[in-house]
Amino acid sequence: MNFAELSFWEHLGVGLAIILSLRFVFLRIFPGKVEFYDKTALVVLGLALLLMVSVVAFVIYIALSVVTYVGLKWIQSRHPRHATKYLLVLVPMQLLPLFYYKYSDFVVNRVAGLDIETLRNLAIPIGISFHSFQLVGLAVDTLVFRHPIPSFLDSLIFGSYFPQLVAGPIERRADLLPQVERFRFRWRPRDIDEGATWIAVGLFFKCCLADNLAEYFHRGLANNAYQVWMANVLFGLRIYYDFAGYSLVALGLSRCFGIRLTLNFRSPYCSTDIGEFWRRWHITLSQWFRDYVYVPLGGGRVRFWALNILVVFIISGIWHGAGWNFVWWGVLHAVFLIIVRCSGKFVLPRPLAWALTMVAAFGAWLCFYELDTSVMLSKMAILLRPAAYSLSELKATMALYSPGDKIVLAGLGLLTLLTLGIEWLSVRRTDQPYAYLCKRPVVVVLVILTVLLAPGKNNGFIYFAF
Amino acid sequence: MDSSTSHFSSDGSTALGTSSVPWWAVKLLGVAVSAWAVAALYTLQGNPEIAFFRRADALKREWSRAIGSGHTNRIIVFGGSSCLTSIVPRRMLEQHQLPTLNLGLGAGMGAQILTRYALDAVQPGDTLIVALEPGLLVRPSELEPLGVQFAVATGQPRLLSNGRRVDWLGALVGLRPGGYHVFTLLGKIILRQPLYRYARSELKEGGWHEVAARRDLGNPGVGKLTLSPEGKELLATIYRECQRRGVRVAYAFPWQFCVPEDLTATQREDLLFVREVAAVIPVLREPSLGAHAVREHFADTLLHPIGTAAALRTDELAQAVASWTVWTPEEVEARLSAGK
Repeated sequence: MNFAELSFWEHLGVGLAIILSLRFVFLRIFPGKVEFYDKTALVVLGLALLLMVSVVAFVIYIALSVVTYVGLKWIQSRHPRHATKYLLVLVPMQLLPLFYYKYSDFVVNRVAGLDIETLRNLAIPIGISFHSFQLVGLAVDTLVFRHPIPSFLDSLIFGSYFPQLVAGPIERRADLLPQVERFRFRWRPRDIDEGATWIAVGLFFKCCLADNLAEYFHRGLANNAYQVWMANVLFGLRIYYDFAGYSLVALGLSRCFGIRLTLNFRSPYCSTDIGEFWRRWHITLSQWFRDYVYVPLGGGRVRFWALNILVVFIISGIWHGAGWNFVWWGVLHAVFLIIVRCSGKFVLPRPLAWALTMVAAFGAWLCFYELDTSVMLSKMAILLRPAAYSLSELKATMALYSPGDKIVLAGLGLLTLLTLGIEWLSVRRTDQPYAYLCKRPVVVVLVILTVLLAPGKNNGFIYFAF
Repeated sequence: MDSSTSHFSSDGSTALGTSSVPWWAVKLLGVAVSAWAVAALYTLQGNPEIAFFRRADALKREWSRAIGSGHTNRIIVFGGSSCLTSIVPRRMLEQHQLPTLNLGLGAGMGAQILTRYALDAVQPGDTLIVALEPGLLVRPSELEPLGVQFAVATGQPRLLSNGRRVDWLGALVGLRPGGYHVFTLLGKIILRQPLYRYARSELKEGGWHEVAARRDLGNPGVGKLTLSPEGKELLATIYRECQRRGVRVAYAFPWQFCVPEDLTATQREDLLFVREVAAVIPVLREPSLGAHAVREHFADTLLHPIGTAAALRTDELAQAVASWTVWTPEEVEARLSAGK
């Protein structure tokens, strides 16, 4: 379900054509069954698109949905007074496939030191982290807040809604379920127009910026600070435009179907402290951790609030991948956030605060992309060594790029800076990220740039691996 | 629920009408199609790189017709630009009596297109020399935009099939320049440089490319080569296809520049690569083992020999083909042991 691939749009178009043709016939025979037909068709469309990507992911998703629905039904009918206690059983069951595919090798083989071959190199089913968390959220919200259990069809749509099935946003019951319950296939020109704008901006982010930046990101065995920073910046920009691009296309596509999804990014590189960064980066995941981990731990009102932050960010790191590097990434961000909290009312000049935030955010990306912990630590040491910033090291870094590469990097850099500048203006003047990018003349330019500049390869989404 | 999309209704320039047709979406689609049409026209008619390879393709066809009338059992060599610049068809014919087609193009087209281009040309009784650059065999292969553009521009869409149906829509959408091309083109215009570093006049008889450009090559060092699963599968497919069609086939290591101090180490690494390749397809036993340590013999890249060096490379290949000596596993192991 890769929005950057033509095949996705072909499959979606064919699927919709079949659904709408059958709808025409079905409603002639069963005129009162429009709600049933529309919801069933949406489920079938989502699951068919998932099945085309991965059979394993499809089977796991069905199993997870059934476990969630049956579990909720059983708990609410048999143990309504102790519903929240039974969450301690249901939630681990929901997370079991995620643990097996994503963490069993790390925990069993690398942490515990056992040598179980069958757990090595397990392919992570696409989207498992996202829909596992979304269904956990559904279970918790339903039982803790004593909401009625949605119908099986609605709960299936809630989990299998195709625009956000494989890479979020991780929607909450209160936001998505009411819209799902009202869902009908309707012709909504206004929504389609709005959705098309988001799709255009999203594809520009993904195909034009992220995919071109990907050509120049090389993890390599960088041995000087400039090379490491170059990789960090390229990776940081790439992952942002990759994931934000995906999220915007998901948002736009969903809008065409009349369902509003949560904006998952709000120009995070405009942030002036690391707390703000996390309020703008992968917002739905941050909110999930806040509501289901941080707040239950006591949040920021207890004496050990710093420990709570550390726990949340370590879990957040591990959510992204099973490896010590992700733990380091989480720890670094937790430390940055604790420092910001401790600095209290001490206010830095805005440009300096922004620069420090960017150094922290881009510096920490090293822990995200460098999977080998020893290499990661040695690169981190290089970044902290003043001697690594010599002129000769800079020349050595420049020599790595051919004249053609330098021109392309300069052009890409300018385009990215321009985009970031427009985002910054939007945030500063309207507090609506992407507002100026969504202006009609700008969108026309973005569409043209996407058509001309998209490289047509490297179009896999990074977050599909999570 | 985030209401971040509210600027759509509050901003006059993005205010949306109440029409039953989503005109804005239709217009955006129109802009995309128009931009694509202009990009496709440029790609097929204006792109100097495509024009260069179209010319190369035409010369190769011309040469094929010329030698086809008088010779059977041709030698067909294919690969990326190292092949294009290394093998001189007329020299193979006149000095070594080997009627040879040099079907080398550009490595940027990807191994799939280069292979299909060659397999389309071979006939029973021919000898196919796979001279794909190791770089194409050590990473996952995919359909490269340049290859797609070449296939469409030269009217050979079957090159895209790879044994399956042709993805026409994908091929048409691929007729765009892409970021690298656009940015470098703009850079060349600004710096007043030629739009493409190679001129069509550098293409000689038989589609051999004698490179005029020169560039400092630096010290390339010794790289490790490991055959990728995709590379292995590609070589196995070539081998099976040739067996089925009665075509003799072998892999020949392209020449690459290395500094004299690294010659032994480079040849040892190359031999390790030969061991992997030879497990799938025969490898011609050539003395150079893909390493050539004369800096003056290379033009603008580590893999592009100048004209005189191309003649040397042609002679070495001709001797290997004429004697048809290929590496055996025992010989590879013996040589590796001797080098320890």
